Amino acid sequence: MKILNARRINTIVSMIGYLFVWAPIVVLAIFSFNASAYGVKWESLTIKWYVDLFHTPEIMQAVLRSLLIASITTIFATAIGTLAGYGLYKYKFAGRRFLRMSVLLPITVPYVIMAGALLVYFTRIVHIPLGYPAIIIAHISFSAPLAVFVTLGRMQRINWSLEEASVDLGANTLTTWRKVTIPLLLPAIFASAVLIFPWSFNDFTVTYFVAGVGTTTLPLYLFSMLEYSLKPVLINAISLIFIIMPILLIMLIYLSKARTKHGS
Amino acid sequence: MQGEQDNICIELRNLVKMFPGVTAVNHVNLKVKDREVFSLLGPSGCGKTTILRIIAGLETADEGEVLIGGQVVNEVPPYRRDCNLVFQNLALFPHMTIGQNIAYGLERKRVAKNEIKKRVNEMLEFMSLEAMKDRYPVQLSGGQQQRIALARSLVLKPSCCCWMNPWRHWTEN
Ligand SMILES: Nc1ncnc2c1ncn2[C@@H]1O[C@H](COP(=O)(O)OP(=O)(O)OP(=O)(O)O)[C@@H](O)[C@H]1O
Ligand SMILES: [Mg+2]
Repeated sequence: MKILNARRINTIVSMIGYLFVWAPIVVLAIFSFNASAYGVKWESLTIKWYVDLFHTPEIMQAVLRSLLIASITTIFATAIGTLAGYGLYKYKFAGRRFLRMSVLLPITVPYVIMAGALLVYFTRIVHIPLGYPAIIIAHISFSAPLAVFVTLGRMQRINWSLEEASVDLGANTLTTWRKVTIPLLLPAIFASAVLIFPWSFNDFTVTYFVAGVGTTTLPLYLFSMLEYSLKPVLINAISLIFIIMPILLIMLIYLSKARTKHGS
Repeated sequence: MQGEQDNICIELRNLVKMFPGVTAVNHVNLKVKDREVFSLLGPSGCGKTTILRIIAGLETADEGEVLIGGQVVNEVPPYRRDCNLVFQNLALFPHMTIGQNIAYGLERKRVAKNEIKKRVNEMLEFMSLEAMKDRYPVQLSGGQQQRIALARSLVLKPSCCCWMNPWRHWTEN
């Protein structure tokens, strides 16, 4: 009896959890088909927001910009973060413990402070032009720590005799990296990239500070639309697209994995 | 007793290795001849593994010389030493099949493709593990894994092969 009750409580708790995750998305989905521009009261069913969306070149441009920035950020932040994580784990040097602990600092510091600091840094100290260079460097600096963190976690579970075995069998350091270390780190590299891409794509605060003219990313564009435009409900439509795309992607990966498992 | 033409394969001269707090290897001298089977015995922690790791080049000696085939190899990096280890934990590459594991060293030496194939197959046959070629290490028993680890070193025909704790998996069957 007790066990049964515990199981029921478990089910209820997880249902509530899912409700919190899915309810806003369902509401969003429904209201993206609402004819009322302000989106609070239901009027009638329409797909005009979706049509509008594809007829607004500014939105498409903002999407492309965000995708570009997120892609470049993901590549560099993952590479830098993975290398840093590897070094922090493998090599002993003075200050290693401090460095390891401070890795998460950029994530725990409030975003606005981080953004302000980056703005001062870019304009007063290193003179990096605002716009793409500043945005990308800023994004890399706040997302590389994620990759470091993920890599450190993975490193603890790797058998390091494998690298020694590779060297012993005649592979130099570079070949050992290519043939043994990177394949062993691949799950961490993949996990980092999957975390960093949306992290960069979604960022509003930091981007808002360091963006220049003509580098309005999607979150910035949506924000300005909320402030000035007469059809905030358009946001529902675009949001839904960006919720559905990753879900489809995850399902696709899941299905292809299930198939390869089934095949072998 | 043996004649002059007996080649010395491995020679250690006054080898010393210190770790913080312990002297793991204290002035060791030894000579191993070609085709000789030489065993290092001793209580746990007396420095057997450390000696083998120094011979393979994975640790550097603090004092003394390591000679392989008559040449001092102290400064030679491990990937150029004609000596292979069979690790205590075997260290088979988990992301490669058995065939790829055995071929790894030959590929690094840039041996021709069909020659690699031939030697890998010979080795698998010798170890009577032909059926395992396309399996991954986790799908093998402890004893089979050990034979693969040995095969991976022997396929390179090194002038010496150092085997750590050879009886570890033997006791299982
Ligand atoms: N990387 C290291 N750092 C510090 N001390 C070490 C290191 N490796 C080995 N030692 C020490 O050196 C000594 C010899 O170690 P070694 O591994 O060579 O012993 P062993 O003879 O192989 O023992 P076993 O039979 O238990 O495998 C031990 O006291 C060990 O604690
Ligand atoms: Mg040992």
